[in-house]
Amino acid sequence: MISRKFMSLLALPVLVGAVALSASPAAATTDATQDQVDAVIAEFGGTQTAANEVSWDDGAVVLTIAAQTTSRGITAFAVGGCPSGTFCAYSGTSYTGSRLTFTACTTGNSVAALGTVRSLANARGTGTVRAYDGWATVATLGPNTGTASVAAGTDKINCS
Amino acid sequence: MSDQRPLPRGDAMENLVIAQMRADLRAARRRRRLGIPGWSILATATAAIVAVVAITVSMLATPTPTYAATPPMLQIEAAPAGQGDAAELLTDLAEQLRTSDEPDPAPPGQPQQIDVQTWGLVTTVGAEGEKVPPPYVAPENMTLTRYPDGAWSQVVVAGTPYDTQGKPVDAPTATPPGTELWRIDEAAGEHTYLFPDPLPEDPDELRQLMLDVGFADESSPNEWLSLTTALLLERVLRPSEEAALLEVLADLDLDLAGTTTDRLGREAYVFETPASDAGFVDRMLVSPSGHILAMETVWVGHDRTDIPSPSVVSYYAWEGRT
Repeated sequence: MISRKFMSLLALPVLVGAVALSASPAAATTDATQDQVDAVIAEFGGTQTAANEVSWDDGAVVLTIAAQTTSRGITAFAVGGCPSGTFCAYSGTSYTGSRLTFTACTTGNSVAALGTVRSLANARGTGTVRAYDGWATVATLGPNTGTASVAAGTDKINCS
Repeated sequence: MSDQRPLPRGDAMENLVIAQMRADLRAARRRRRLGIPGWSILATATAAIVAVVAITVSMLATPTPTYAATPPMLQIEAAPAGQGDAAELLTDLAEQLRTSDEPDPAPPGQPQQIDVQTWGLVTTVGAEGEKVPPPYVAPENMTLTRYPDGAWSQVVVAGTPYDTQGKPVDAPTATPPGTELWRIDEAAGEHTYLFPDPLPEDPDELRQLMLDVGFADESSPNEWLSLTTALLLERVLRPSEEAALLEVLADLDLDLAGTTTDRLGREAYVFETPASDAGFVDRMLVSPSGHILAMETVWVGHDRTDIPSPSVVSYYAWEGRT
């Protein structure tokens, strides 16, 4: 049973729902996110099942701590600096250089504004991101993963 | 292609109105000679004044575009006489590096650490509502560590924000300098390196190695400098390796733009590519001793509304390689 106190958690910037869990070497967790996870477990129990997730009842209830930007502009959870819930293309390797941040899954997001694409990040909790060179797929990224270097020639990316 | 004629500028419009007033006055004198009443002249003059005021007000009320904050452009001075050829100078700098007695900055078996200040323009696509760009530039300080077993660490902390003139600002909404923004730690075997092995010291072999990494267009100098940046974010180069790199780059279609002081206060030669089809000029800053100090990308196109042209859209300034 979910207590009223637990329901008050919903006032926090969190998302509750079943999500695909994905361990990712590129997923980066800040201390702020871990602090929130620790606070939730201390108060309500549960098990940490991902860097930003706590589960109850064998995954029947999953708390996902969403991207949180503080008043000082710190993004709490991201892949290579890509804000949580979005996917990003970078002009440099290792998530550097100019960045295009996409917030919606529309068809054929052009990356021409970067000139060249050298790395990609999918900072969404679910779904995949694909990078294309023409019709050829050059990279496929699972949730909360990134690729620090991508083949030259990427001209569009989309997600599903 | 637009078929619209450019609108007259405000002062041109004013001149048109004044010319019309003079014509009206001449016509009034003719009318007076013919007995036409003076009130019509007064009405014409009043209408003209109203028109001038309306034009002036409309010009003042026109909103100026809101641009994203970008770093100031480098102040580039002409290269000293006799140093006008980029290829020749790069070759000379390479030779200087080869004959130097600089020690190997990264002896085999030791971790390699690369410290670089970096900044890149962030453009958000598809966000609901208006996204107001911050009125300051927020650089990041990145430390990359490559361990002998292939493990990899990348730690990014907030740098000191500055305004578009390069002066530090106290921005309440900026992340405090020194705050860790994100990090990636990868165990041995997890990180994919573009350049897993030490570089060849022969420029022809190095050129082939870089070609093997892959280009969308190997004839694009912009892509060669982009790949050079990727290389310098992965490895600490020995002087002989960096000399070979300069010799590879000497074969590109680069121009010697001049000399400058980089964003970390160091004297440097500035080599630059021609503008790419997408409107980007890439610049490489090399110290008088032949070390690559920084890379910058400048947008010089004419079809964006978020930044003026030209604007710096990203830069890397290497602070330390050990």
